Amino acid sequence: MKCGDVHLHLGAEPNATSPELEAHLRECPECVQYQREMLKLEEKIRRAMMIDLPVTKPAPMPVVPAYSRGRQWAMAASVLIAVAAVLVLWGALPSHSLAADVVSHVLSEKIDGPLESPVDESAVREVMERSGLHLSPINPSIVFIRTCFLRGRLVPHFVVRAEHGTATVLVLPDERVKAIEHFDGNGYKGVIIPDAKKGSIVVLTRGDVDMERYAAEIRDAVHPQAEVR
Amino acid sequence: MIQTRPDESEERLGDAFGQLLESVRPELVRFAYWLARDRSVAEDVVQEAMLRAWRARSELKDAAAVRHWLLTIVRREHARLYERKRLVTVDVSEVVAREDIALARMGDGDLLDLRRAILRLPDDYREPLVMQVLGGYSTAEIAKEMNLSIPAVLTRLFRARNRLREIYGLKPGLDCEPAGDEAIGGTSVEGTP
Repeated sequence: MKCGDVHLHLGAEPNATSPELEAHLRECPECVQYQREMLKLEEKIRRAMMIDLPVTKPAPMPVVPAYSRGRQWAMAASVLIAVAAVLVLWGALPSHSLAADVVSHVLSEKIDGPLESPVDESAVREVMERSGLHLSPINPSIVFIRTCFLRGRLVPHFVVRAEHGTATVLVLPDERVKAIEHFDGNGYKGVIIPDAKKGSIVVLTRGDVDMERYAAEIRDAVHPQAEVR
Repeated sequence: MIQTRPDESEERLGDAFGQLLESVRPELVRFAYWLARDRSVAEDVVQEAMLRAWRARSELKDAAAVRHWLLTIVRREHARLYERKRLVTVDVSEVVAREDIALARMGDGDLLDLRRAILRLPDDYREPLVMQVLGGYSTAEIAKEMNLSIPAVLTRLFRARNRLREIYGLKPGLDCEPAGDEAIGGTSVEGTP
């Protein structure tokens, strides 16, 4: 075993040991020194990574109970009825899952603060840029904004303050719906509006907000970053 | 007879699993944070991972392996961000600047430079290091999870630590091949199995 091999193995696994390694270390003080350094460094790396991060979001709700196969068959009739009801209420099956995921996400988000003051423009720009988007100025004002992870991608999630309450907005560039869709569930009313270039804009609220108006306004204000440059 | 709700044993199992998820959540968020370098994204990744774990809990055969199972779900959930190639290019300086204040508040001031250096590591180096140090993955497990050869993983781990040595003024270890970002995938020991 050469010094280069020893460094590679100790650099990759500082606690590693093997007969060949031990034999080399008995003959090579430089590599013994390297091993000491790596063990000290390893302890520091471990301490550096062991940070405590306050968890700010509540645990997600378990939405799909894992029933046994036999029980699944037994429940088929009620499931069929539920599916039929969903199809009638929400219009189309694919967007049902999108609406359900959006509501589930919003329910699991804990948003602190009074949601009164407009957020800084730079914060809006930063969040939109992280998703490859740009947002032109809009009215109503954005009072909260963050990047969220939804359905496998980072998306802008913001809250706007309207005359009669607040509304949550999600810009989903990779989600496609065929036509404007409304949904209603878990205390939220919402609308999904499509755009051929921009994917889908979702607006939902618990208040009395003209969702379609704001969704259309936001759709017009959102642009792919590549188009802005 | 049609049963319309889970029986009591299943409910108890679900409750226990929910408590288990909650108890390991801080560890999962920490793991996701060092992968994602963003606390908000880390929490979202963990939330999605917990939902997946909940849905798939009947697949967990060995209760003793639950921690490793959950960490793997978190890693895969985070990897989905990259697999879909939907992440815009990240400016490392911005990442470090954004996280700097929070990291400085976490005590162990002597470790701040090291934390910054870990955040600056390229993803290809940082991910196996985090999996090994925080996740307790073996080199073979990392290789399997990242679809790499074992020598490739060893090289990445070595080079990750080599970069971290620099901040303590230590001489870099002897690298068999020229170091540098371009070396990823371009050395004699790198490559997929």
